[in-house]
Amino acid sequence: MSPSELVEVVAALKHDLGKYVAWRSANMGENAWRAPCSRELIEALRSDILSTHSGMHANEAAWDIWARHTSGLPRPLELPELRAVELAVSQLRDAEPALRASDGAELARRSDELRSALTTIRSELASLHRRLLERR
Amino acid sequence: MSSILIIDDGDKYLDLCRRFLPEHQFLPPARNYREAAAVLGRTTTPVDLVLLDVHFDIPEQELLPYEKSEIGSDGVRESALERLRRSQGLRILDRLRESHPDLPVIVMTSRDDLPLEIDAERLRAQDYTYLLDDEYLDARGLKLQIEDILARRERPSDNGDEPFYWGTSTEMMQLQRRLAILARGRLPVILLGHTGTGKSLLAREFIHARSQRTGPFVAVDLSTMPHELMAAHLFGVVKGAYTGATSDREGVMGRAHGGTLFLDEIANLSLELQKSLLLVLQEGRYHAVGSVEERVADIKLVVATNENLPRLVQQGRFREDLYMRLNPATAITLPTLQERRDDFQHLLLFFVRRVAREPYNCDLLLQYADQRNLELPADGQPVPVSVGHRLPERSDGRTIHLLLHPSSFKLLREFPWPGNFRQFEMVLSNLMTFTLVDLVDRADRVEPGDPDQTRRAEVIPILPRTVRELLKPLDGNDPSLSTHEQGETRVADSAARASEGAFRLHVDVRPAGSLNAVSCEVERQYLEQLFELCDGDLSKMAEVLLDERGGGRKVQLRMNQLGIKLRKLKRRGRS
Repeated sequence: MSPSELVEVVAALKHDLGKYVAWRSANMGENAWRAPCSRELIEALRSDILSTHSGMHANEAAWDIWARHTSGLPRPLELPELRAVELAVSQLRDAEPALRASDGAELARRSDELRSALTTIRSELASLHRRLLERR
Repeated sequence: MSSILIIDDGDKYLDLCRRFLPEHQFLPPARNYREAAAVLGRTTTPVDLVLLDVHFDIPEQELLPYEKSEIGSDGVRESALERLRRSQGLRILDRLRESHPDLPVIVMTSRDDLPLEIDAERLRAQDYTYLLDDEYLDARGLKLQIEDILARRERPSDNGDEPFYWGTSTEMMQLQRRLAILARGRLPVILLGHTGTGKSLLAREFIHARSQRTGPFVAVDLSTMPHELMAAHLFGVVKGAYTGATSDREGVMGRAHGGTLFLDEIANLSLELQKSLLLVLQEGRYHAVGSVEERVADIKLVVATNENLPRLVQQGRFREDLYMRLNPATAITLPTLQERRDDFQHLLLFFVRRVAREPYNCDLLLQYADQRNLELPADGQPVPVSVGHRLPERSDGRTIHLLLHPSSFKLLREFPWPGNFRQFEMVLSNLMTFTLVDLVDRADRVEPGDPDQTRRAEVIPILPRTVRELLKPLDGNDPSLSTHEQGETRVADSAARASEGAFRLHVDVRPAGSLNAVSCEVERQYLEQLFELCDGDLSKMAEVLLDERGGGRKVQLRMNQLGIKLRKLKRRGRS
């Protein structure tokens, strides 16, 4: 994959995944994240993670967007930022049953991990994108 | 409650905004340009602000441009369509700007996420177009940004909306965009260009007006300032710092706090003061002369020079570290008037309108309009004017058109204008004054049946002779009128008279905002003194100044132009 193609992939990931994966939940106040999980937070997490991006590809979950954009990248992933995002996406996937069942207790148990994963996806994609643009 | 339109292919923005910004009314979203145009075209739902997404996953037939013949076919076509989708918001913005140039639009992306760097520059240069401050949308950040934009809209417009001397050429449009970007940034701006090319005008009326800074604009011409006074003038001085410093005095650095400081002829700054200025740029702090107390400098710095700064750096006359801090990569070189002949008509109109607002010309235009029964503007408003070498087809009954003979138009356009726009403006001011004075004076002498009365009253023909006479003294190519020779004669003559004790005049020279302001002040002083010496006899003054007793009217005109009140002088003389 050429450097310019890689920038395209990262830009698309940043837009489709990084931008929307914490769309509502990142705007929730600190109190909402404290156990037990509020109904509002559960709704926000379900919307952000299970229907991260809607458009021509219908409603896609975070891991589906990740898989669609990174299918052409050689494995194991070379860039440390992408490896961090891959791990964070897998943590989100682990919470899929709890999210689908709106299991407040399980989500409260996982809330720190989920929050950290969402932050990682956003920040790693943003910094990688900026780094690649500067190199270009 | 403000009415906000979201243009987005999905509901993400609407959902977020309705949740977190309940104090605003969000209209049903527009999914593409057609829907947006329809909402904005409805007069019943005025829109205060638009939030515009950039990436639109929408069907091909809804994408702008609607004609896609240039896209190609097959695989190329698919990738071209994808690119169109990723930048669709920018195309929508371009269309919106044609119909709604001053509608505030927040483009819902950060600078890094725009498809091309050039798009970011283009958007930042546009008025009423804003990018998100955050990398990702933060509802609190968006709320603050919306409130700031809406509040700004409610404030009366500033000078940033005034017409300027940009013209229509591509080069000038690019220069304008570039300068608009620099104006909003925090880095210093260097303006380069020959004398009179508008450096000071740009700094005051364009950069400062668009800097979004609330403090004042302060200009200093370093070429007119004695070196020993420069530090105190720039940084201020405390009482007792040196003999003569009898009180604390604030410098321009303090006066420009929160605003813009324009340092003209920066090359005149001594090496020592260059170091102090460097500290201001590096640390945002400075000391007043004689003080140990550190003061904060919050200024947008604009510097100008017509010298070659890199050469001065090589010669050790300008500090390299200061030069680098002045942001030399983005220095703007202003073209001369001669280089802008393609825009001549535009510039002519701009400067004619400008000189028509000068108090004396403004009065003359009002008198003329009154005498000819033209519609007078509302109280305090100047008479609208236009200019050109063609007759306007129709009249609105209010605008006075200055009609130049084609040869005069050509002469003005082809003239070398060594003093550039400043000189151009002065000549136009004189042209307007001399023409109007004749017409206003002549009004009393117009007899019924005078052929002049059959002309269109709102059209004022400018006599080619007046144009030639005003340009003649400025034409250095005419050996009979060489300024140098003329100057030598006058100086010698004046010295001879002075030696006889006849007209030895004393003037006080003090720094002012520009060289022009200094010379006007000097001229004002000597005319006032001469008026006194000649006992208020304008003919006598004309004899002294022009060797022509009948030239009293010319002297009076000049004094009026300089703002000298004859009545006040006469009263002073009597007392």
